[in-house]
Amino acid sequence: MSHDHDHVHHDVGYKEPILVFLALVFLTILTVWVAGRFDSAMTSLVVAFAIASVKAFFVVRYFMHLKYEDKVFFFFLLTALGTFAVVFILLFADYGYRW
Amino acid sequence: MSDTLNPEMTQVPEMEEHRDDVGARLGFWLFLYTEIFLFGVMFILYGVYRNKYLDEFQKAAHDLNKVIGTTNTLILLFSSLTVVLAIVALKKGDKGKTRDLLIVTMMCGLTFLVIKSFEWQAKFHHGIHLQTASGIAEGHGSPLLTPGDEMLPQGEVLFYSLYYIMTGTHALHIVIGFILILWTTIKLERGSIDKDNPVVLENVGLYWHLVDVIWIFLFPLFYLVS
Amino acid sequence: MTEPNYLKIPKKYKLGILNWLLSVDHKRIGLMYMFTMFTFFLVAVFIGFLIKLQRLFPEASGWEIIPAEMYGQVFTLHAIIMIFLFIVPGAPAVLGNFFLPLQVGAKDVAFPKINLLSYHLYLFGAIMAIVGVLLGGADTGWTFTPPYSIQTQTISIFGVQFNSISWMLTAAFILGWGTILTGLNFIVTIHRLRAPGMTFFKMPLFTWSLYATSWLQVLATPVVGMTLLMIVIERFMPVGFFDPSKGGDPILFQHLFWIYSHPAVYIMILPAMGLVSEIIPTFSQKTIFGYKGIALATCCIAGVGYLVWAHHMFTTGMSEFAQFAFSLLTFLVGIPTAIKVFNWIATLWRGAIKLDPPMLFALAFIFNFSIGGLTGLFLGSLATDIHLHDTDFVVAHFHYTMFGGGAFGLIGGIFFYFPKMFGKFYSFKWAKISFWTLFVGFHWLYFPMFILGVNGMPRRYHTYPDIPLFNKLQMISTIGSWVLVLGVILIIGTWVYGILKGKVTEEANPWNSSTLEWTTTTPPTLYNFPEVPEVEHEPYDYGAFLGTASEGGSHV
Repeated sequence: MSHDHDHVHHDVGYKEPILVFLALVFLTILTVWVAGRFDSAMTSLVVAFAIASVKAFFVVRYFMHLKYEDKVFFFFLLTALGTFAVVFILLFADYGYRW
Repeated sequence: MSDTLNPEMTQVPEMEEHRDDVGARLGFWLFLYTEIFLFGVMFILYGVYRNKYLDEFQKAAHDLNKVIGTTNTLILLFSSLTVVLAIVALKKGDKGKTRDLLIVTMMCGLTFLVIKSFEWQAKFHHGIHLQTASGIAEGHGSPLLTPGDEMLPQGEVLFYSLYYIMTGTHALHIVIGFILILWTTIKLERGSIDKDNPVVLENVGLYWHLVDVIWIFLFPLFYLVS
Repeated sequence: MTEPNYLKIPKKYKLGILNWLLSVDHKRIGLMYMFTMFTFFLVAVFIGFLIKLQRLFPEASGWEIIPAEMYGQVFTLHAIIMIFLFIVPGAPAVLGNFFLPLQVGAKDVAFPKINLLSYHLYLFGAIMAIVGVLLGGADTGWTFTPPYSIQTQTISIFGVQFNSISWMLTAAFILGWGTILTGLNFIVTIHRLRAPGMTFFKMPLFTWSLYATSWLQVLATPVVGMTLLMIVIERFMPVGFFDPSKGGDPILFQHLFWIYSHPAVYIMILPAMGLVSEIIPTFSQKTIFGYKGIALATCCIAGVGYLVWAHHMFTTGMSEFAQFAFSLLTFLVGIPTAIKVFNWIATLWRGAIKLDPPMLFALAFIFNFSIGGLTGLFLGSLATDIHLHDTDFVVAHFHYTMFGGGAFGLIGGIFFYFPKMFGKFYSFKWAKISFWTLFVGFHWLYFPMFILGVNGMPRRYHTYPDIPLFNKLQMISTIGSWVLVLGVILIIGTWVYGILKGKVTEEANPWNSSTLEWTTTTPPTLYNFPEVPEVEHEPYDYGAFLGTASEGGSHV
């Protein structure tokens, strides 16, 4: 991995970003529409978070170009997000059992 | 990286300019992860306190304006689109279009900030604002957020504190992003960014997308989970 | 005409010092870090000397070197300098900057200008911290725990009150960015600039340790940066995140603080372990035992080390479940460390061992760190921690690991790489004398503190009651500190004398070591390698290597 080559050449076009944008708009409308329709606060939060994650996935994969980058970019992402997730969960070993 | 002023001293070889666009992007992604962790701390605070003060959080979230929040979300998503299109235009060699798209992106960022400032002012009007320690000492407490007879329930105080600090930090990053895009536009005009040298624009674009992604999570957590 | 080495390249600026302060050469940057860091180290050692002097006699004797009101600021300053200005930049800043590109066969790091920025952020933050001391410093301990850190106001030496805590925290924030950028630089360097043929599992172990450390720097430092910023915000604007009267939780600060500060100790120790992994095979002239095991153990320590932070908080009032979970994870992190110790010892077995100064420090590392690590088990175990928390036992434990391990490793690494960096040799005789002085003084000073701690002596206390056991042990410990300080002075003196008047050498590989950095000229040229090196054999493969090596030998 020490040689200097650009990432995979793919056809750049205006179409893909616009389609992704439309998907993001749809998901935004969706998340606003379902807000408050659930009885349980936990369900509300989980659904909102899940939709937000899908939106973020689209932004990262397409807008931020991760789909077309070297695999190592994805491993970096996993490392960072994985670390954060584990820390968050472990923190609730305290807060989940104290309050 | 020439290190000699004296052309007769030819002992130190000239190193050809080392260029590694993939490495530049890789490094920038690492920087983005530091930003994610920075904001992550505040998301942790939100998560912990929501867990403790669920009812107050829900009530306070209800009092935030969904329409404004949604509008701002769509504006930011659109600005992410325009910055990606700007990169596409750059790679196709269309300098004019690139510049125009970058200007649109900046305008979107500005609009976001203007709308946010209106939102904050509305809250200030209701007395929900932070106050400095010296201000409180002089008796100018925010009746709804600082100790006093009319202080809001503890959970709501924390909600609004988090709201201001998190959206405030986010707004600061929009300002930084704006400046970066402006700087990039200038470089574009000067020709130091072009079809064969896109990496600065690509990285600035990444920064802008990160600001967008953070808002994608901020929006539901503050406006929608009531 | 041969190319000049990096110390002798033609000057770009007329004003001499600018050729250093504005240099993007990783080697010069490494040396700048070294001089700056060890200057601060000496200041902090002196403060430590004063702290121990304060403990020479009990309270009843009327002995007072440091007035009680100042004591908080004194030990806080000692810790801030040692941690943020010395051991966290530590080996990565000095030897990592200098030797990472050389070890992987590159001309420089991935982002040389950002590397220079890192140094200036460090320098700026450090000066800001020193100025902060004059403005009143911090008396909160380096842990800045609220609510005290939110309320405390210290008086400056000019007799007025500045918001010096906020000043110190801002300095820490700036220092943090220097660390983050260094880590970022190293990760990209390792991924993108390795010489052809050098796969990940052909990298030297010091490089592996820098890789794991860099990930910790990038992913952990921002957490504490933001958290300390929250304290600053709280001091100006009571938002209540850690304030119980607003519903906040002070323990949450501690969680966030230690989510960085525990990985930070792995930032401090992993590169030192990497240096030991370079020194031991070299001075045994034998392939390291279990190369892959050490490489993977390094990553495991970094990974698991991220998950144990709350073992600093067992007595704060966390949930029992959290106490149990973190205690379990803490015990797990000892396993990869043990793997490394066994592998180092197995490397020694039947090796052609040479007790040159670097080797003395590496062996001392294993000895000191084993003691430090084992005493950590008593702290990781809940029942014993209740008794030992916040006593001198903890202080001894972390000095054994951070000083006896981290600093000994760094110092040994500098003795190891000294000829390559400066093209000169230090006096072996004085190096050995200074080693033994430091080693003896170190144990003399710190071992009694284990016993003091078990017997109830609290940490961060400015004096102690008149109890015979305490009186005896404190005095022994204080005398040990004098020997230790002498050792430090001798080491610095040996280096300074070596740099100024040491025997000049141009030998590329004086220790007959097997990694790429030893194939450069001594000292290296500006861009390190005249042509891009090709890597064929495994690192530490003394079998393949000895066929091509130059004549090795020790020098006096």
